[in-house]
Amino acid sequence: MLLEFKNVTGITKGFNLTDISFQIPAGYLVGLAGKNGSGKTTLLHYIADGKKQYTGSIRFQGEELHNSHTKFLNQIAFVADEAPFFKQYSGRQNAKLLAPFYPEWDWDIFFRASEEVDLFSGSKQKLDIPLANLSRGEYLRFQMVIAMAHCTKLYLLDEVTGGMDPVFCREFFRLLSGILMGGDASVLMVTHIVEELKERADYVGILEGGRLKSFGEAFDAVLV
Amino acid sequence: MGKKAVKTGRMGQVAVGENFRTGKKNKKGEEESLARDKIMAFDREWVKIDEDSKLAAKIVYVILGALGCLMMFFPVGSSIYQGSPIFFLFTWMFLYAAVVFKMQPYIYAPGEGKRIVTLLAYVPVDKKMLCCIRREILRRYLFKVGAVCFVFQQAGALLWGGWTVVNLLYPFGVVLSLYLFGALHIGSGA
Repeated sequence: MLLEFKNVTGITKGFNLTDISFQIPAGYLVGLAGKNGSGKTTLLHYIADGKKQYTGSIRFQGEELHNSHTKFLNQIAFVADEAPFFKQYSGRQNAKLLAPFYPEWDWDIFFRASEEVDLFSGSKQKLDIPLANLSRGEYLRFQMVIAMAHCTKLYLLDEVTGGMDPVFCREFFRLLSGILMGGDASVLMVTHIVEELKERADYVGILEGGRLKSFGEAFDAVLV
Repeated sequence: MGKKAVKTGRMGQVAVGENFRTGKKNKKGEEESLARDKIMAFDREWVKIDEDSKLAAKIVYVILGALGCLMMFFPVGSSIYQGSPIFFLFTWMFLYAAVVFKMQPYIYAPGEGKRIVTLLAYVPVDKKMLCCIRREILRRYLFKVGAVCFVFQQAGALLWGGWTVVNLLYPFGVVLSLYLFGALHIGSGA
């Protein structure tokens, strides 16, 4: 199992997540759906944040995540509107700043992925424009490029397709399919759009009021 | 296993984390050494970006530091201090402002209003080591400033003809307080 939640319970800013248990095998797209305020983003932060804010166990590649969190961040990427980057600087500058921290950073993959997600188009390469001046879709695509460049094994996507047009969504899921085809990376995607997961995800969990109401193969989970 | 060695400054000094008997590095020492290398590689890229604003900050902290050091030439106990603590305050403020301008580029990302350590929240960097390296930069800077302040204070006191042990302690006190405030500003990375 790539990621395993076992009886995870936490209290963050007065919000409870209670007894969350599920597993994510490598090579799959797992969706977590729920209404606003159901705890989806909180759950992602439990994985991405350095401080352990829960009881229970989160295991990454068989090891307790927060025992070596800094080391595991080499293989985890958090993609979201609020993901922190140096927004006054360009994508290229951000990549140069972040590359030293990732032992598996690959510049070839970075540039190939940038081309694939269309960050090289236009009169000025979008890689050389400050991130603050990119559109939301371009910013999210840039984050995916950074994640691919350091050979991420677990992609944490927080509402990335919310409010985006169908063309973007189609292209984005095509990108995710390419990533998942390698078989060693997984995607944990949270969204409030259950129908999107029905079509795209392999497994879906439904969060409600901080509890995991159901978790299973996409078709089964959505019908509950 | 052997003790974790530290730099001693003696001939044949050993690296952090290296056992001075066997020459082998312990695992924790190796990890720390690696974390340090990564952060220093980041800092090398960081100083290259937006060089103009970093140069402007450098000019400002050099001027402020120079003013603060010059004010140290007036020794404690001289007439300029008597009945007026304002002179102490101005001296300290100039030096503190110099520390702020010196450390600002290493703590904050320009235009973001956010700390660098916050922007690296999801990056595999040892945040405590990041802050530790910032404190090292602060110490190196304050060592130089402190040396100049010390020399100026002693020279001023001797020229004035009223040297006391307070003239010896005053620069240390100022530098120590600057370090404490600076270190608080940097944070712990926790």
